[in-house]
Amino acid sequence: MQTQQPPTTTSLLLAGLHDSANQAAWHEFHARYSPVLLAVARRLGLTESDAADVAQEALMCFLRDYQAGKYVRERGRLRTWLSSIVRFRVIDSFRKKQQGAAEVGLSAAGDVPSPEDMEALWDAEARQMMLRQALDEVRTSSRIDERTLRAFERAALDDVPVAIVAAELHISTDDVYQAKSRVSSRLREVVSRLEAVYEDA
Amino acid sequence: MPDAHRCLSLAEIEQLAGDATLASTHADHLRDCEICRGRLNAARLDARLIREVAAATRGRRQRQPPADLVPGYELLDEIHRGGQGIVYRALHRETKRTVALKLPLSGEMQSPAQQRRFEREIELVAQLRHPHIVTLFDAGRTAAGVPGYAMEYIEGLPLDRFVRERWLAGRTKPRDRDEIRAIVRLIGVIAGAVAYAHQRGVIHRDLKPANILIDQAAAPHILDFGLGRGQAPGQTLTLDGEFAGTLDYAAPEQFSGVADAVDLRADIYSIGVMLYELLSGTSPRSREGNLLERIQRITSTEPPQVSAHNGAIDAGIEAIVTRCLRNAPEARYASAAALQADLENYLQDRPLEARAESGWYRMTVVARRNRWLIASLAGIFIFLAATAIAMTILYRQSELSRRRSEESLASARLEQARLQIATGRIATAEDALWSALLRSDSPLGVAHTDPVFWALIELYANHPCRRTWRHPANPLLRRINFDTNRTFMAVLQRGEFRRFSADRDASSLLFDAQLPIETVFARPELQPEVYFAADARRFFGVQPDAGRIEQIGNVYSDIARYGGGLDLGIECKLDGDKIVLIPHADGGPIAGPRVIRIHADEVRTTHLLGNGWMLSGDACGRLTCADITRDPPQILWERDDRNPGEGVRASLAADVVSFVQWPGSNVAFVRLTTGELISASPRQRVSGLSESVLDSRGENAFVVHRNETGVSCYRVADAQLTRTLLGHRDRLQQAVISPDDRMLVSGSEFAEMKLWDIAPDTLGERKLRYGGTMLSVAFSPDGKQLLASHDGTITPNRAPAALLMDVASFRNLRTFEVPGRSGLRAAWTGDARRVVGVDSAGELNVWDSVSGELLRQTRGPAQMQSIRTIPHSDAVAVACYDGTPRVYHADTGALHDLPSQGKRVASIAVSPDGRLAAYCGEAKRFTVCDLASRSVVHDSPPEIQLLRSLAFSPDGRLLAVTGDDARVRLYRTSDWQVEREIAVLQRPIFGLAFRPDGKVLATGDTGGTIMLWDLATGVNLVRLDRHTSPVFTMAYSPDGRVLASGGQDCRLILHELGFYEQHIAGNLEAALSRDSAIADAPRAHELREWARSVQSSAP
Repeated sequence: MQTQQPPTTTSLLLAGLHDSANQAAWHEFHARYSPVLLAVARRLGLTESDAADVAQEALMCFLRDYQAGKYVRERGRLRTWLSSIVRFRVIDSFRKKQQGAAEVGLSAAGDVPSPEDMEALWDAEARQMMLRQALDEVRTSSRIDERTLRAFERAALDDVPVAIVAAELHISTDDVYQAKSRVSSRLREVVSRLEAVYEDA
Repeated sequence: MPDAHRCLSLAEIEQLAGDATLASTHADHLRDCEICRGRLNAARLDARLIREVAAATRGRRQRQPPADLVPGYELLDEIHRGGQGIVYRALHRETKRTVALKLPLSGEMQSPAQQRRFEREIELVAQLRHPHIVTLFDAGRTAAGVPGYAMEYIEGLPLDRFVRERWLAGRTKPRDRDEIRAIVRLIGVIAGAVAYAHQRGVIHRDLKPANILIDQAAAPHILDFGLGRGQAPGQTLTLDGEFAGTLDYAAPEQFSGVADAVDLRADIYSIGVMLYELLSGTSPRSREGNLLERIQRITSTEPPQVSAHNGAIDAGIEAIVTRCLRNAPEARYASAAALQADLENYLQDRPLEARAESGWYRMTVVARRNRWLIASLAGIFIFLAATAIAMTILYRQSELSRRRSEESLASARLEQARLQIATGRIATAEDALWSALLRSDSPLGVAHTDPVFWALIELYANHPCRRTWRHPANPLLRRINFDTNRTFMAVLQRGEFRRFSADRDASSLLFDAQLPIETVFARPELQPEVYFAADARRFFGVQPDAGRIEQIGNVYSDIARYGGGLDLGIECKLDGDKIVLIPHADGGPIAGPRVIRIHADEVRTTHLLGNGWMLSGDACGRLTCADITRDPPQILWERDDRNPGEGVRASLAADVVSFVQWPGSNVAFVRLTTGELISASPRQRVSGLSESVLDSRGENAFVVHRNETGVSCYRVADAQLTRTLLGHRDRLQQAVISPDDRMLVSGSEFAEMKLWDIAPDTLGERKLRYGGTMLSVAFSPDGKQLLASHDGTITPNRAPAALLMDVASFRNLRTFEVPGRSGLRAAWTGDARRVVGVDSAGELNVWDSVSGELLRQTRGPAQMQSIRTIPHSDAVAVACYDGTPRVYHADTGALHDLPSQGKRVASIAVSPDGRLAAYCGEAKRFTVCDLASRSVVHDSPPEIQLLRSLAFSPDGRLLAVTGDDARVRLYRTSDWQVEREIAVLQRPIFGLAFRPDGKVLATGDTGGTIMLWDLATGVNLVRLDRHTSPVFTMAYSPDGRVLASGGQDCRLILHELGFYEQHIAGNLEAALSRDSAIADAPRAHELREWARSVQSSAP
């Protein structure tokens, strides 16, 4: 049975990164931000492999700059810093592509959003990541049985009428409402905890 | 008004949270109750969070919308919800058939063995085809793995309610002999249906009034056959409340807990209980006490006599009920057929089997009385007796099945194939029917009555495929293109260019490019001889007729993988929100490469048109039409359709764009020039649109949906799915129509090609939508003319009229009108010189059939309902509402009364020799009288329901009578005994017509269904669903090849019954190629000869 460690807050995590030997902090940081970086890069029109490259490069770049002391928390939020790194990486990637396309005399580079738009994009993606993580956590927590979860997913997330969910799962409609309500409140708990953890990311 | 003191249920909280407009319904309680207010607020927050989480995780979860709960069906509404499951009314998408879809709750299977047994049972049940057993169309599993099944949808009342409300005027028990007999007759029909199932090895196990629906024609329909297994009472005892309902009908042995102890005699017990209840108004067993006490009572005592509850019950029926309700299964009737026979004995006042208890039962009674004696002999005697009886039963069964086996196997296969036709499994049905036809020795053609041949007619009448071609190597198909109205080209992935002709089975290979072709298209308006084709890297011009190929350039993008296309010789490359156009061939709308950026999101689909317009759709659902000959492109219109990404196709000639809208997954049509919406189909859950083609007038669209095997035909004006052409085995690649709009060719991905008739006038039927309700049709004796009367219309204002039509040209030659009258019906006089019309005002009009001149008007005594020619005379026979039919002489205007029936006469018929007239109506009986002496020859005993129609067979030997009980009885005119009964329809029959050779009877019912019956066997040959509302009148042409029908849908239809012989002949070679064992047999030779003669006689 997998047990959930309470995730470290952003401040603690950043503190841990100062120590090059702290592999755990780096892993945690990587796990937390690379999906967001990937999603943002994808949203900017990069292909899957280009996006993966950009995300990796951006994280390495951040770590290097951070350890070199270029990032001071009080002067800018982490998301501003990370999203600007991504932005430059994306522009780089487009430039490379453009050279390849020059042979046929066509422009392939697109416009890259402004830094403010980048932050909004980042926020949206980070929130989605967090919600997915919350749902995963609810799913894997031992407190809720499979049928209840399934009822919640069908009735709440898939928006299937309660009567049909009841028929599918051989339970009563009341059971479905119960399941929806139970899982929702659990989800609410997890989300508010994660919001606190990801403070000011 | 909600109770203000009660706290809200979770369901109510949920509803309130989801819909703010409902808040007022519980406002009082919410104001007072802090707890519920808190719960509501929490639920609202939850709802918002859920929406967010659902959006964030959408891509990761597999979506299963409710409509896809059962694949292939669209749920319409819930009909019933009970302890055993939910029943939905649902639409089978491919056939548009409305079905009842049942998802049993207690059908959960524990072990694979039980599951297999359930599935085997379903298979058996699916083969039951009986007019009084609800047909099981389909069984399978829902997306969530719950077993479910689709069955015939019946509108009706449960048995007990029907009898109480319709027959007993709300009373709980019958009062007199007639009412008792009606109930006994109905139970007899039910027993007959149960017997049919028993003979095929299926036991119901849960017969009860709720499982027997009675339709408006008083025909019973038994539900849930064989699906009660695993639900033996012993297993459901814990569900006390649920079980109480069926406890009443369960036989004692069903409580033994031994499943094997339950056999077909349990069903007999259940029928007995129902009969008991209908007759006595009460259950045979008291419902007092707890469950265990009740079971104790059922298993250990026998119920009181039924006559104890109803004094009107006589000893005969009492004996039958008692026999059914014996606690010992062996004391009951041995079969449902025996029960049915005894019920019939009762109705006919014959001696009853029930009175003589069975020998075995008497023996066991004796044995019980002499228990001590028997005990000492038990080892030997009981064993011997049991063995002897078991052997007798086994012997009888095997004898029966041996006699039945060959015949019934063939007919079971045939029934199965026709079921497959009805449920859209056309390819399977086609294989089975052809296999049977190739192996039979029956004469070919619609002039005969081979049921296999007629089943093929039914198949092609619904899916009019003219010819099928298969490529032996199954190569991938790339493109089909019509060259002329009768020939088309197919380009295969391996590089073959093949030409096909609608009139030949063989295709010709024009050119083999020996290239793996990825994309190919033609540009007939610019270069008619040239096809443009591309493999993964190169771009070619091909002239298949000249056998030339030339490389024109290179291809820059992998079109097959990344979308875009090669329309018009222009490579369309999709690059994020940009479209890159690279022209490869000369003469197109743009000269050099262009980058077009007119979308704000990722472009998903493009389609270039010959006039230089481009349609493109992006990921956020914007569909744009732009003129790309301008630089920058001029945007002509834009629409927001959320996601038109699933293929956008347009027809310049028809000015229509077709595409699939998401979400909703429905087909939509838009004007090409303006972008305005023409129509959108209701939500259908079609899986995208891979190709579509429009006829030249832009009226019909033929759509190939992604991953589907049928061509869906839509009416553009309202996006109605008008038909689906089924028959391909694999997914379709493309469909194209001939330049004259008469033919459609569809090609599957493995290059199976089918040619279809799509022009309305080639579908073997000619329709007239001229007047109002069609009331009468009659052919002239030479078959060249048709007299049809209609009831007139209000808009446009048309008076009721009789039309004289030329059959060959289907043109109206003359109109006989009576202004200001309704209900006009017309007939020729026996010499065909005059036309007589009668109407609801009771007026008789005589016209000269050649000049159309009105010769005479006679005022009759009452409304006239039916008119028939009296052969070899100047007279007609007329049915009147005053109960007295009359003979009217057109030459003299004389009107003679025939013996009265006392009540409205609905229909009259005259024997072919002109000697007898038969009539029927509200008196519920038919009278036959001699026309010369005007005296009664025969008066039938009354039926239960109204009689609607009658007809004499062409040789005068039989009289067919039908009515609201949806049965046709064929009486011998020699002794007025029933020779054959056809009881198969759900609905009352109004239309009756004998084929002139007397071998086939056509019936038309109130649902618009026409059926043809083989009179020698009583087998249904074909079912034609061409009318949309009741059929009132039918007539055969003298040569028997055309059937005319008319009815409430205001259509006069001439069914050319031989038309689909063309389709059978055209598909012969394809069938022979599938069935190589028979290809050189004498039968194949015979079939080829026949096919040649059919095709050479084609118009």
